[in-house]
This record gives sequence, C-alpha cells and structure tokens, in this order.
Amino acid sequence: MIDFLKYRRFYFLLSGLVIVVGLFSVWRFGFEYSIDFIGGGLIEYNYQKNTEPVKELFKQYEDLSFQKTNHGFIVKGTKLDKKKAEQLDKKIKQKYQAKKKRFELVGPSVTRDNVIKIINAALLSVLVILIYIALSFKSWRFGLAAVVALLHDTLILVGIWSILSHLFGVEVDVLFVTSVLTIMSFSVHDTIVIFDQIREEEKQGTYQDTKDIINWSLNLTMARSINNSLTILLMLSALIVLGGESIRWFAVALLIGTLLGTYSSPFIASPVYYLLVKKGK
Amino acid sequence: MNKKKWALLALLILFSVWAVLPLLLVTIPYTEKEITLKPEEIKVSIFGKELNFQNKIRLGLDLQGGSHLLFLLDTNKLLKENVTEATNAARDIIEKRVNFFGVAEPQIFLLKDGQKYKVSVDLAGNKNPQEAIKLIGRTVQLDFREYQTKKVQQGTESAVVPYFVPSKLTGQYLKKATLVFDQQTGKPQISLLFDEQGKKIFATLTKKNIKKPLAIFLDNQLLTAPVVQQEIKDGKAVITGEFSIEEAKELVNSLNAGALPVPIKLLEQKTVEATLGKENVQKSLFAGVIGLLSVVVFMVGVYRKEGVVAGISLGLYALFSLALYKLLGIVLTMSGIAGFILSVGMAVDANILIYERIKEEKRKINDQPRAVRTGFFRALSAIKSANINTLLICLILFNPFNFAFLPQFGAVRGFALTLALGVILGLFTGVFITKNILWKIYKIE
Repeated sequence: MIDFLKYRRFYFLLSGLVIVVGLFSVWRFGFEYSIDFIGGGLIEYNYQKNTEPVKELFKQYEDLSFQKTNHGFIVKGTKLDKKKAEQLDKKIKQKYQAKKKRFELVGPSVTRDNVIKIINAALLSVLVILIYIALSFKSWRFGLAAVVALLHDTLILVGIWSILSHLFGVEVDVLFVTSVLTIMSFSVHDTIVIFDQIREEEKQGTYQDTKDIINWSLNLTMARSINNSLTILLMLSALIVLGGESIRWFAVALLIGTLLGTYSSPFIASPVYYLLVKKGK
Repeated sequence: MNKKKWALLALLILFSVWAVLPLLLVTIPYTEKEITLKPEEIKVSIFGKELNFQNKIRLGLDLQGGSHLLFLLDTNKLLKENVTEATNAARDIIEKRVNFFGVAEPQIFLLKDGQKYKVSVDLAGNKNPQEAIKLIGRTVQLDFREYQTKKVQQGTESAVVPYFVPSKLTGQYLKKATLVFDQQTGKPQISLLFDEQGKKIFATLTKKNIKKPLAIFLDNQLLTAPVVQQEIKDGKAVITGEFSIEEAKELVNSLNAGALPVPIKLLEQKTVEATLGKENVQKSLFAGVIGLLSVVVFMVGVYRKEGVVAGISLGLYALFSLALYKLLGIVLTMSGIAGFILSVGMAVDANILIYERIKEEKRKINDQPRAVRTGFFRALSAIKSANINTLLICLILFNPFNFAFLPQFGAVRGFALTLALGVILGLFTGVFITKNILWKIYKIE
C-alpha cells in the first residue's frame, strides 16, 4: 500500500504555488476577452498568400488587432462598429482579394450582464454540489473537501488561461466559460468515485485508522482514475490535433481541466477530507 | 434478461439504424416501383398535436453557415401593462418580415433579460444579412390625411396655404395589401383592403371629403393625394405612385407585416460563411471518429475480453446518440459536438469503473461469475452519484426555466443538452447493456 497522504504538504505547496503564479498573472496581465464580452467587431478572412503586407497595413489602425490564422487572418477591435467594418472590408477586398469567412458585431450592452450571469451559474453550481454531496454521502466533510478540490481546479485553469492569454493571445470567450463550468462538474465526478470508495471502506471496517482507510481507497481507485482520464485525453487530443480551428482552444481548456480534475481528487480532495476528519476528532 | 428483452433491444437497435439512415429509396427488381424505406419527413399526430420528424440532423449556424442577429426592443415608452403584449407582437411581426426573406426555418425567439426584451433571429445560409437587417428594422407607417387650407397673413399680402391633417385612418386598420398592375399603363400599384372598423372610418372620411384630395402618407412622406369622387363603402383603396415592381413588392410586404409596436436596435450580428461551417463539421466528425476508435483500442488493450464489451457498448452509444439527435431535432452546434465528445469520455468512465471493480473482485474471489456480479454492483453507487452530479450541473447550464440570472447563450445550452443526453445514454449503454452482455458471457442467472 502506497502512503499517498504522507506527502500531503508537498501537494498543497505545489498547488498553492501554481495558484499564486496564476492569480499573479490574472492580477498583472488579466485576460484577452472575446468580443462576446467586451463588445466590438471581428472579421475573419480566407487568404492563402503571405499575410505580412496585410499586417503592415494594420499598423496604421491603432485600435484594431491583427491575428494570423492557418488559412488567413482575423481583424478585430472593440471600436470596430458597422460603418468602420464595412469600410475596412471594402478596402481589404479590393487590395488583397481576401474572402470573408466570418463577421461578428456585438454591442457593448450585451456584455456586463453575461459576466454576472456566468458567475451566478458557477456559484449556484458550487452550492448545489456542496449540498448534493453532503446529502448523498451523509457528511458535510465530503461536500466541503470536494468543493475545495473544485475551487483548486477552477483557480488553476483560470490562472493558466491568463498566462496563455498573455503569451498567445488566447481569448476568454463563451466556449472557455463553458469549459470552466464543465471542468467543475468533471472535477466533482472524479472526486465522487474516490469518496464512494472511502465511504465503503469506512463501512467495511477492514482498517480502523482514517489514514489507512483513505490510503487504501486511493490505492484501489488509482488505476481507474488514470485509465479514465487517459480515455478522455485520447478524445480531446483527437479534437485538438484534427478538429476545427475554432474549437481548438476549447479542447485545450478541457484537456487542462481533465488533468487537473484527475490530479485533485486523490491529491487535494482526499487529504483535505483527512484533515477535516482529523480536526473533528 | 430473457429472450423477449433481447428481441426488444434488437428492435431498438434496428430502429436507431433506420433513424440514422439518410433518405432511402429502393427499387423493387423487375418492376418499376420504388418504395421509400426512409422518407424525408414523417408526420405523426399524437393527441391532436402534430409532430414533425425531419430526416436530417439540424446544424447550428456555426456549422452550416448563416447569420445571427440580436435586436433590443426599446420598451421605455410603453406602459408596464402593455409590455408583454407589445413585445410578443413585435416578435411576430419580425417573424413575418423574416419569412418574406425566404430563408428555410428561421429561428426567432423573444428573450427576456431582466427588464430588457430582446429578439434573436437566426437565418441559416443567408448570404446577405444587411438586407435582412434593413427589412426587419423597417417601420412602414401608413396613414391618410385630410386636405385643409389656412390663410396666412404676411405683411399686407395674404395667401391660402394647403396642408394635411392626420385622420384616424392608419395602417392599423389594414386587412391586406396586394400588388396589382394598372390595366392601362401596366404600372405597379398597391391595393389596400381595410378591416370592418377601417371600412367605416374610410367611408366617413371619403364622404366628408368628396371633391377634395385625400392624401396617403407612407413613413410621414406624401405619396399621393387623389381627389375623392364619391363615398367609398367597401373599404378598398389603391395607391399609385412612381415605384418599381421591387419597391412595390417590398412595400406590400412591409404593409402586410404591420408596423413594429416598439422601436428596435441591432445589438449583435454574427455571420459565418457556409464554407467555414462545412470545414468545422468535417474536421470535428473526423476527430470524433478517430477519438472513439482510439478509446476502443485502448479499452481492448487494457481490459481484453471486457474491453470488447466496452467497444460494443460504445458503438451502440454513438448509434443511439445520432438517432436521438435526429428524432428530437436537436440543433447541433460546435459546442454541442464538444459536449458529445466529452460525454463519450464520461460514458467510458462507467465501463472503466465496472471493469476495475470486477478485476479487484476477481483477485479476491475465485468464482468468476460471482466476482463479475459483485464487482458490477459495487461500481453502481459511484456511477450513480457521479452522473447525478453531472446532470445537476447540466440543468444549471441549460437553464430550462430561462432564469434571467443564469446564462442564456445558445453555445452553453447546446453543450449542456448534448452532455446531459450523453450522460443518460451512457448510463443506458454503459450500465444496462454492459450488464446484460456480461451476464450472458459469464452465464450469470
């Protein structure tokens, strides 16, 4: 039997460090938001030729950002409204014969409400999870430990996203929000499986000490945790490598989240549960 | 599971295969007859309600290309008790206008967002959203005005100045407008027919103004002012003017649709070209198939015999999912596909949980059938708790009661819907079907 709980201070330290770095990035650099959140315009073009001259052209537009894609380029900006977008489109069509693929305009009024709604959904989910686990496992300690692991996963994912945002211009868009909410449910899904085992061992009474019960449960469930996340990773890797460009970062977010969810169940949720039980005694 | 249940399962599988099939016509050999094994559309009437099953998976705008428009209804000037009626009427009028545009299955929804009312319009495959925006936002106000004159004194000179006073007769009383052609000149004209109330107003109005001009205003602009010859009792009028056939058609459409009861403002506009959509579908489907196959290979590699069972249950899972998407008419978007792919992962999880438990029991118990049985039931409680939890989250994300404090975006909803369906189907194939196959293999009673 491997004593997983022995190194709990190390897990907490490691996770704490990653969370601090991520939150620092959020505080220092923030995020790149998609126009769904801040309003503005976006035009995507198909353009097979060299995009460097196009990029040069955009140096004169200070409030527009230029982004190269696999098959062309994207132009966007918070101040790009209908009139400006139409003028710009005419110019690009004439000069480069680029083909318009996607065109989006979002008014700024849509935006702030959406952020609040998402936060509401997240908070409600946390509450529902806490109550559901506390009820079905008949102990608030399980609920609280699962929620700590969930917050751990969410914070790290958000922090990593801020770093990716800063380094590669990856956006916070509706799909990223979806992925955060999914990761929240996946994280708990994974934790429940381990907690179910711990509860069963508690009932069976093969081991008396909480430490042994948890360690034995972790030994039993480790293969399942790893195999399960491997299958999800296979699916998501296929999506990242072969899927369309527009869901690539979405798949990346889910992939990071899956890894976090698998890691946090034995290494965060279980030690936290152990500490809660030990304190209660 | 007895023979009856196996037969039922076989029937279900056959039915799903049939549901997934594209349009299928078979020619009977030696005859000229063709029978339709799979029609384009099936109509079933249940309790007087007509259900329509389309033989195709409905794709969202991001997958098939098209335009999404979001309008804000300005309800500031309305009385509170009129808001519901006016916003619903605005939605209906927008729908009428969009229908003139000739797009297949436009999706028009009224969204309530706190105190704000919005109408979202989804036009599939529509290439020119600008025209649609123009048509939707157009407010055609028709009214009739009476001719009057007044004396204007300027210095020593006085002049008689004609002007028009708005009458009670407006487009509100219009029953129908039609495009007709002048029999002599062949020019397009618009013929108007008023409803009962409008007829009466028109009759009094014409009676009062015999031998005087009666002006027709469109959008506050004088269009024509014919002189009334006699009282008109049948509620019919004709507008003549210098317009082209196209203009006349548009006017007729706008008049028939009626004026919007509230001013609208375009908030959001998103257009995806069909080519980008096609690329997305093909790539995602390909990725899904490869992902699914690699999962099956992995399962067989790790769990051998049981891995094959997992492969079968996964195959059935994919089949049932596609059949359900078609039968329920779920609109599949990019995030929906992602939800499906993720739910595959969660469906596999049920299998892994069961097989890991069985492995564990096999180590303890020599009697294989008993080990399989115990392992299976031990895995159930974890599967149950974990999946109920995911379904609860799906419920919050899907927001079925349209709570204004939760997200209402299509992308989040599509994802939650496919994930929830995936979880339920995953339980059916991963638990129920897996159990029966295992029971058969290990001859468990």
